[in-house]
Amino acid sequence: MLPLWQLTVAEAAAAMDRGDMSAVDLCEAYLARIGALNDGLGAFLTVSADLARIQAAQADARRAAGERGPLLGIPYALKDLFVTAGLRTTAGSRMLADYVPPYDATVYRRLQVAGAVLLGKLNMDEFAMGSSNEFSAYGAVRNPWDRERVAGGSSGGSAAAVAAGLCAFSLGTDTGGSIRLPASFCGVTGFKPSYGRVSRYGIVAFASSLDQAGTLTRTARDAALVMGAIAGQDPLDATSADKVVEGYAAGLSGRLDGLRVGLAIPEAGDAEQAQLLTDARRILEAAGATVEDVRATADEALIVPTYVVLVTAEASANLARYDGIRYGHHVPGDDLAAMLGAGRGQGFGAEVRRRILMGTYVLASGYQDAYYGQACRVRELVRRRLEATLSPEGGLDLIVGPTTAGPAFPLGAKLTDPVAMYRNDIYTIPANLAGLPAISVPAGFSAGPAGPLPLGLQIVGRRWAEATVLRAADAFQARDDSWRRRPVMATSAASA
Amino acid sequence: MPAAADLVDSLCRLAALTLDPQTRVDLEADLPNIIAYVDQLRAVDTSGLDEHDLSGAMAQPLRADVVGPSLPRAAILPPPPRSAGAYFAVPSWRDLEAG
Repeated sequence: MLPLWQLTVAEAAAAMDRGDMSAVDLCEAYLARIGALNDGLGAFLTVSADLARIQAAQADARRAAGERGPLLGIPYALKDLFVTAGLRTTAGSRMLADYVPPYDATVYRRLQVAGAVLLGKLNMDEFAMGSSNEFSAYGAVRNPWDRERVAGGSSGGSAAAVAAGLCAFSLGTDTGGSIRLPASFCGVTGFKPSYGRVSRYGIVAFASSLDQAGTLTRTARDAALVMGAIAGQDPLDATSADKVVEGYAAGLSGRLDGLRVGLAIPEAGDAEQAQLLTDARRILEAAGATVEDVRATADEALIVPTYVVLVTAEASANLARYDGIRYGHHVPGDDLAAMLGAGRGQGFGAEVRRRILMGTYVLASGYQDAYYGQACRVRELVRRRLEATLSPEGGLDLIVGPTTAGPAFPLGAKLTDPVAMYRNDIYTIPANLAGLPAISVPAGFSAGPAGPLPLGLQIVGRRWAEATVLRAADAFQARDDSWRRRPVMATSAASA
Repeated sequence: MPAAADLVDSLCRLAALTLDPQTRVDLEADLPNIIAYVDQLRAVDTSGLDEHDLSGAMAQPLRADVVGPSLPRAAILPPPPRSAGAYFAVPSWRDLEAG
């Protein structure tokens, strides 16, 4: 059998069902690997080893009593944006350095019910603001394929941990690409469901009209298994949808017969992107899909500026709650304005301060309609354009294209240019603006100076069509083995 | 758009942020660039669209507004830095505009 940490979720569950290993065995294998590798990656901010051992023992007891389940005893980790009762939740910020929540996020509750084993909390860009994971107050996450390169963000710890075999799966959040972009950079499968498909209750808010929880896994099949546990309406989140949750894993047929797929060819694509799309066309046609070229959706004059205005506006409002009076970083003082200013100035990092000020600007009296109002109208324009294509009337079931403009870039390469950093998300933002489900799957490699660097293929579907997106990704992975490749990492005997 | 230094001063006051000198210098350079970038949006023809169209299209039916039990405050919040009986204590407000 493979080393335990190399098993997919589906393989590990089957091995435990056969009695080949226990949940405690699997948990210890991952804890050993975290101990051996995390210092070099910075993926975990908190390792909850004691809790994990308790949950693993409980999973073994449930299995011994005859219970079965796809996530029973499977070790995973959460982006440190999901609140966990009694377990520190930082949001990657100094502002919440000592914050221990009194309640659980709904998705964490649901994973407890499913019997999954929480290994800990994962590093991220502060308050999910970033696309390189260099904006964490606790240091950058390094890419397992080349530690001098970024892991991508904002769910960089979530992607790096799965890529390096530090957990079987993880959860992240995606506001403009924060699951799919790091998944692409780290060579794992990153799935953002439709807005409203998964509860946002207990997720530290960044931009509430866009934030959505999703999965980072080795395979689309694993994503389907995790989605089966976390998807569905939650009375604690008024934006969660009253929609039937399909049997995602049961729908993975490996075939795409009858589906029409639009291949989005970037206007300024390079040879690697051209090869990625050529391969994608061949594979999707082999699976039975009809593939046709479409105009790329990444219209920068619309997409990225719209996103920047909306998320900065929403962030400036959401983060107004951090005053250091009730909780959060506190600076003593005898004057309220000075106390608030100092606490927020010290508690927030550079990118968060930049976005709060930008959001304050676009919402200011005299500017609100020109910026925020216009961005809302353009967002609706983008949504209508996508819906006109991805609908029974438009004819397409899926749009497929590159997830990013290239592989992971070197640490520090874009830190001094905020606009260049925002443009990293150009291919991923449209799905957020329109609330659509989208997935990034490993799809080949670029030749980096220190070895291969993963490339990602993005598959975007109609709203609520998670099952179709996951089926297409699974069919792709049945015919392309990029997902099987692992980064070469120094390991200790304990983690092998 | 006001001069960069005045702009940063004004926004910091509105957002309750006190910046160190280097951060201020960085933001005085960054914010005009970001504003110039998002200014592209002004050229987009959005006639016939309303700011609230999207929220209508994405809306979900709301659940019944039923009052439920709350967590006790002691369980929700850690001991505040300053308190006065059952209340949070805060220092007095001094209007910075007035000096």
